Amino acid sequence: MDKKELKTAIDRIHVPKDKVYDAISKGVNKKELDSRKVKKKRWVVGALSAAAILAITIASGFVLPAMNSVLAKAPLIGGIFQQFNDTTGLELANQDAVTELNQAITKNGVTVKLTSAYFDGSVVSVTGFVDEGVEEGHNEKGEVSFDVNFDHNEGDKDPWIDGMTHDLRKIDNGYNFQWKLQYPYKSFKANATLPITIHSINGIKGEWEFDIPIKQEKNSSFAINHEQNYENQQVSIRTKELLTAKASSSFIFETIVKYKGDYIFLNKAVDDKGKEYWIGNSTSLEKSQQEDKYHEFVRREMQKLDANITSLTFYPQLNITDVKVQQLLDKNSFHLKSSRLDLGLQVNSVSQQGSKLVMDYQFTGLQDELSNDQFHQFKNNLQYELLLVDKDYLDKIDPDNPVPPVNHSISENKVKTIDRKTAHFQSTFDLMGEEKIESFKLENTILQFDFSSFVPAEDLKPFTVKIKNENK
Amino acid sequence: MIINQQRLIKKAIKGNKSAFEKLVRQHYEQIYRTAYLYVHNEEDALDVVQEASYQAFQSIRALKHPEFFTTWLTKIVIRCAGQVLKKNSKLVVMSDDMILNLSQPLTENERDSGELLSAIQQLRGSYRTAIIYFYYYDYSIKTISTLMEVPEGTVKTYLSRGKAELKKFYEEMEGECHG
Repeated sequence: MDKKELKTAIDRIHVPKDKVYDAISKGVNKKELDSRKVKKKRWVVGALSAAAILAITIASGFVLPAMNSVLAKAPLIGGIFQQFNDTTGLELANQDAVTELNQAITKNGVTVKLTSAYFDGSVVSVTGFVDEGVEEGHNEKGEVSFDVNFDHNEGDKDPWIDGMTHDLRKIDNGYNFQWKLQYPYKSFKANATLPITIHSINGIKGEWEFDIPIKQEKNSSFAINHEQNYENQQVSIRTKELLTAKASSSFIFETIVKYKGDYIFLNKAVDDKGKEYWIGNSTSLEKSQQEDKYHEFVRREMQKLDANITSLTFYPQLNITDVKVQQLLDKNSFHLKSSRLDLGLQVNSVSQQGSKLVMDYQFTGLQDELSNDQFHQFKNNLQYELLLVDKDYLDKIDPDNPVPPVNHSISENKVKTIDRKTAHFQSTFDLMGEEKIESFKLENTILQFDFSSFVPAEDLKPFTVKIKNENK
Repeated sequence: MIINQQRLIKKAIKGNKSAFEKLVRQHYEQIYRTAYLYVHNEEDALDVVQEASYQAFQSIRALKHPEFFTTWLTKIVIRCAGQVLKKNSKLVVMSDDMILNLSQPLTENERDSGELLSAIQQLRGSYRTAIIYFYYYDYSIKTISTLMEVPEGTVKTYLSRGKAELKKFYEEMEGECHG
């Protein structure tokens, strides 16, 4: 092995440029979003990693041997799916379950052609082609971004867009693209069509309107009515139905949580023969509040289940949300306690030193000394989890989208470790920095703190459901 | 390019968001591939890129030496990758089946690359980090020692042990493929 060999190998890792750009942009702009929401999303994505084992083939640009036989059978469509390393698409092409499309529309010098669609389980895929006319738009060469809506929805209020992913490949005279969407409705309509409106591409305006058939033959369904309660955590899961389509399965369940914001996700499922299935994207179908509990119906995509399995064991994980704690800084030292966790924050001193506010504090209730990784995470999160806010502006913060009020809050600080063993830190807030509190007075300022980001997700006890195939 | 980068870094340190974004974009391939070497799948690698961009933007004001921007960013990427791995607490390793599946339609060179990659991905954390810094980023032992916060001697140990492990994996795989 030499340097060049290693570099060449690493350089063969396919880089999905658009997605990486998108991730960078999301990271940079994260502060403007609801940080908790983003964090949740991050967890969700993390949970998908098992699902992404297949992505190894995708990312390396390698081809599964099975693809060759598919290509022989359905050369055109198969070729497109091969280009996107879409194994589900290939399998469906092999079963003649992909609708070939040939709808082309030209507006303002840009031609968009839709080439195929499939609907399997909970996933809708649309492939298409856009010609090099898009390069006249404002994006850099090699980038194509669509402003698109589905089913006559408008703007961001489009449930189809929530779980949408897109992929792009440069070809001779334009770009091939694939969109993957999560079917957002609770029930499936027979022989439905999906209206698609592209409003602009790379900033080039024009309404490209399509209406494509999305149909799938009846899924086989397994009713799995099972309720699993976790009393200590005050959450429960009600499993409802397993659907198996031609190339994938999906699973509908209801989660019931006492605390708003608690989130249950399923890491994996294992059948009675020990086979492990990956669990993919989730779609929220319905949310409600009943008595004092929060209910949510969720559909999750799954790897296709083997026929004749008799039971399935799910491995759930719980990510909890704590209520934010706060204290008016009219005293020098105080103790903040998490309402749900055995964690506390002992503030030893708060003082204003010229244009700086210096706070000395330590965590209480930690079982062990912080591990290296925990320590870095704590130190990092502390930089932005301590919020100073003018007491008169506290109620201006929208609980569903808690953006700190500009000119009346400071959300960043510099963290210094005093003693790692006792989880003892010091934070310095710059009162005259980019963020500031107008007419700052210590006694009018509230410190707000969120313990949630300092606890890892908890593995809940796995549960097993019996499966009775109704189609038998 | 280099002058442009220095200017962007200075703007970014002052908190200019679009300058920062441009700057990180200049390294998008490198940071994505680095993340990928740790987490082994696209979703998590993108997650690492997002979190690293976030953390980097949050702390760029503290970057005292603009000339060390790339090493500084890489360090954040590797730290975030470690955090994601820890959170998932599962390491997705390429199984033999996957490697076999991958190898069929490839040219010899591509196959060798695939094997080497999966070997790197199986290295233990500190060896892998040292190997990536040294071979992929061309950093000196001294720089790596600063980045990893370990003495230079330890970096050398990581590198030689890492190389030995790589060689072992590599030979095992070679044996399987040709044997």
